[in-house]
Amino acid sequence: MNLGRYILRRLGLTAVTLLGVIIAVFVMARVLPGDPVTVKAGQYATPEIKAQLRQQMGLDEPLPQQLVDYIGNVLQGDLGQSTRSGHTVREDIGQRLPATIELALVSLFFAGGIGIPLGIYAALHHGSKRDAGIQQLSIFSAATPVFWLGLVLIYLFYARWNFAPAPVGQLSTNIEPPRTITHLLLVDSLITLNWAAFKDAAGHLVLPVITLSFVVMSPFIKMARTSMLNVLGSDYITAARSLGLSDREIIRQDALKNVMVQLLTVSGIVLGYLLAGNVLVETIFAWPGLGFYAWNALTGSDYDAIQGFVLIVAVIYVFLNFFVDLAYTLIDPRIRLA
Amino acid sequence: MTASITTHSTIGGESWSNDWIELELADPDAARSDYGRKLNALAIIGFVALGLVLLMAIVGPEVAPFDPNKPNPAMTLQGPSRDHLMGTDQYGRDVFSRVLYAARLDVRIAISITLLAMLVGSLVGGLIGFYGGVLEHVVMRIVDVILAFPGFVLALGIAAMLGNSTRNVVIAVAVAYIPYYVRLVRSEMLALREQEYASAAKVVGVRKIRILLYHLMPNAIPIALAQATLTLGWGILDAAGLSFLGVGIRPPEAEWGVLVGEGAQYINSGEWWISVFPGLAILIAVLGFNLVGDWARDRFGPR
Repeated sequence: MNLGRYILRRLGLTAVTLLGVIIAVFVMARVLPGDPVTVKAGQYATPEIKAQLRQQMGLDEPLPQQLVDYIGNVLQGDLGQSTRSGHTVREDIGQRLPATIELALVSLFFAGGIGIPLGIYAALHHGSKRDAGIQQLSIFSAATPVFWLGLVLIYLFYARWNFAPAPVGQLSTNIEPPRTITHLLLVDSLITLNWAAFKDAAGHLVLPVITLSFVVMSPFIKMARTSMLNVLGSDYITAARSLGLSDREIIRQDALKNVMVQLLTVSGIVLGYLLAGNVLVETIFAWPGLGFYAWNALTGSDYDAIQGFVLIVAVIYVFLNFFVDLAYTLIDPRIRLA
Repeated sequence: MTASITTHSTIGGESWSNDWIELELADPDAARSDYGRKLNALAIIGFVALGLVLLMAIVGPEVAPFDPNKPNPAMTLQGPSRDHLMGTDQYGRDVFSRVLYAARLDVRIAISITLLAMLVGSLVGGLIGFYGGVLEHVVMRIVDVILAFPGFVLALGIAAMLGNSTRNVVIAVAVAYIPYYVRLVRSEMLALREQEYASAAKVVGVRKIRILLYHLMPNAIPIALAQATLTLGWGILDAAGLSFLGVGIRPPEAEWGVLVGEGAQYINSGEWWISVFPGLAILIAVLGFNLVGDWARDRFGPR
């Protein structure tokens, strides 16, 4: 199959999945029990008000019609109205997405930056005590409840030792935020040479980043260790050895390249997890991103906002999946041929 | 094994979302000779952890020193002491007793999630793998769509719409895990239905549904059980996470995630014990389920 056709096919599949995702969110919202009208109008609304609202929301239409309307709205970018913020859900999400992306990317960077070398180190010392220790760390990190770890870190580094800033948001209130350029606080404060903001923003990132990257370190360790072990046991490495290349050269020239290919897949999975799993971490650190928004929506029964959140996370996830597959195909031609 | 990750993740446009879990399965050590010794060390930790959790679940409520829901205004926010091993919370309730009571609920939730996901997923996977056709295509598309959501977010959405109750949490989390069993058992069934004994049964006139349920499905059980050991651990983690956010088990019911959440607002003022001990219980439980699961998969797992 040639590359153009492959991409088209993947694009088609992605579109179908996206449509399915929209339908799934609709089913979640309208078909599952739970009455959105009562939620929106409040418990004490009169039947007249409820009936009016029902009509307004289009809930008196037959379900298939509602579905078509919903898909139409979503495709036009209309995700409904947040009862809590008063803005459209789309505005709200757009405003909060950068904070989430910033936290996720920095966490991904540290999880990979620490996890991959650990995994490679473990593979190179395969069977040793250090290997066993790294594997135990990996197992332990995967079993740690992320929300609990965040609280423990807050207790130790803020409440007890006062190293870290108060776990509230991205920036202290007394710090002038940088001019908005990329919407990523760290980048903006760097570009505008606003050192006070940069330092403060970095300080606020420390605990949530440690929390998230510790929990997602495990797949990186496993991936790096597994692929390194496989590569080291493969024929072409044996061949390279028999040709007299040193271990150091072999690792740098041949083995590492293979580990990097795997890195892409794991990064995609982990990034998806970070965008989702941060509901818990953002809530604990009052981080003004999507996850915290979702939590506020949950506690305030803000249904349009919850659905918008679930939908947007899934859409990001699907696209992430698509791009990773694509990048993978470009790197490794064997996949296209299969 | 590397190759299997690659294959799985990309070829044929299969979605890799949530492969988190399947990454767990990739361990090249399985074929190595020193594995047995090292595994045993981990397995022992696992058995001890799991044993502790099960013990808590079975006898915990009977041996708990206090009523888990009885407030004691004279003893609020006390740190760990001889009387209150894990301290007391803002209402003066004994945290140790609440952790013990919660163990039973959390283990029950983990088992319910796993049973529900395994039964529904295996049955659907077996059916579509055996019969194939349009139904198979439709179901596999639905599976892809469910896997397009990060599992926790899907469970969160469903739980939010269904409303807080133990039953709803179980359903919400189980839905996110069903696709794994569908995929797993389906692909197993694709191989099983081509086996000679399946043809033999057909030749002597056994009805199709009977071949599926009595001759083939039992052979798919090991692979489903291997997956189940993972679902137990993740299930507890997800259910506790949902409860922590307030969309799972409702306070004042004692559940580990709820307990961590109740203590969260006292972390800044330094009353760490309300959250830390229940969270530790979650960690031990997940560790126990995962490690024993690893051991069981290597020992009894298919291939």
